[in-house]
Amino acid sequence: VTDARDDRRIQYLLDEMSQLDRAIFEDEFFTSDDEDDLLQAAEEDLIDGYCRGTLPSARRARFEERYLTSPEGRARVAFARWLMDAVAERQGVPRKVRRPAGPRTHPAVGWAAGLAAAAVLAFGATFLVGQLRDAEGERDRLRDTVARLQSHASEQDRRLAAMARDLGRVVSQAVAGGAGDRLRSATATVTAAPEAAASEPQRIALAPDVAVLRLEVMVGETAAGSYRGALRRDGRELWRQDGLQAAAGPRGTSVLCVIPAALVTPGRYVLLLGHDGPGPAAATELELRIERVPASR
Amino acid sequence: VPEKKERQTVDSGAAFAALLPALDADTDAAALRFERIRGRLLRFFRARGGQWPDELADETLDRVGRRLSEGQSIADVDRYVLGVARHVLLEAWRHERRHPTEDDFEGAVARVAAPARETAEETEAGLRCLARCLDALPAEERELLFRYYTGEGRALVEARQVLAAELGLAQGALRIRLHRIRLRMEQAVRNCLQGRETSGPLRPHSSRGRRP
Repeated sequence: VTDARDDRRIQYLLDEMSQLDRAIFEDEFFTSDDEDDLLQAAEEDLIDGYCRGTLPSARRARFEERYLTSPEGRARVAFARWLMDAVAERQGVPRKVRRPAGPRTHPAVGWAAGLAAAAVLAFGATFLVGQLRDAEGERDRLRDTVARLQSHASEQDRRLAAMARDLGRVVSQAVAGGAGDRLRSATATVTAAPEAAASEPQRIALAPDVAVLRLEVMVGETAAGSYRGALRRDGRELWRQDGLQAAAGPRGTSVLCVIPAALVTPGRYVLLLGHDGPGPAAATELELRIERVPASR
Repeated sequence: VPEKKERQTVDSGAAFAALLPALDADTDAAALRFERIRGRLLRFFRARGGQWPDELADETLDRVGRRLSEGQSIADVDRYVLGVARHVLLEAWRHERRHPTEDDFEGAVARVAAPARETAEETEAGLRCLARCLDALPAEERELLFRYYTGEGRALVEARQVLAAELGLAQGALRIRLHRIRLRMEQAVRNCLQGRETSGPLRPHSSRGRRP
């Protein structure tokens, strides 16, 4: 990214714009070959940035959702890597050493990296006298192994997150289509009022045979309209749904989130709930604690 | 938007034939224009998170082509295409929300199951094709490509500033020039991987850069 206008192009490519800005920008690049060329150039920079591992984590996630989920997108990322390899090779940089651009270090791999680095140091010290060349070779191999582990772990991370999102979508669709009647569900009510958000996590007990968690979020009397919800754990989004409709009931207005129970193992989660619509919206954050209880049969 | 299976079989060749004369009187120029518009549509649908950018782009072009073949006059094809694309996207969203099909599920599974990165063999094949295509590139452009992509971070930015100054080009102009070279390389490598040989040196297209 070279300037503010380029950042605007990247915002468009990653769907980070408000609806109005997006419409204006689309008019520009659909009617101007120059702007379309610059958008394509910005897209190439974006792909290169991903391959070099220089994208911020939020953008990296959005990039992966858009470019690594189609054969054409993956082909473009592969080409960018090959081009970087060819350029580096021409400079005499061996390929195996220069491919650390793994998206992020997986925590488990961080330990592995530490251990591997320690092993390299110990190994190098042992052979300092007379066998430095062998030690360097071994270090390179270990680095290569660590890079592969990092790449594999972050890839697994990405696929798990994508699988969780897809599973959530498919189950939500199945429930909306009537399959919910045949699935065992559990209903829990939580409060999205500010005083509740600031307190301890709200506890939800789930039996192992429950397939669908119906989370009724009380949003207050004045909060009608459409909502978007997202469930996160350790910063990773597990479930998302737009177009959730608030409904008035005897206890106040609530929004129903239908979440596949398979996504929520015991632990702490954050539920984000905000008004639906274009652009950034203020969201309420609710801390939840999921606990397992014996099956209620 | 028709059912997804039907959408996948949209005859983009018919749309191409109907659209071509409306884009340019010269057939070659019209074909390039068609590809540019299709590239814009792919960027549009991908940016909006559409699951099937290729199919939605073809559906859009098919609708525009049909309007033209029905005798409708379109003063500004680019804006018209954008308007149709927005409709197609909205319809696709509504369709997927209201009528989830097995294709949705299978598509989701296929996307998750697909490897995000090529195998070692594919990498080697890609690098071989890239080397071959780089050899076919005029020496001046090959040198430019290498220099443009050498370095990282601040050093990369500064090296590009120096390169632009050496060539007497504005940085934006240099960027567009390299973008067009890269497009040709990418297409040539794709052809090479599909077994279509690059015949002779890789010369610039007669028209402006395009992305299929």
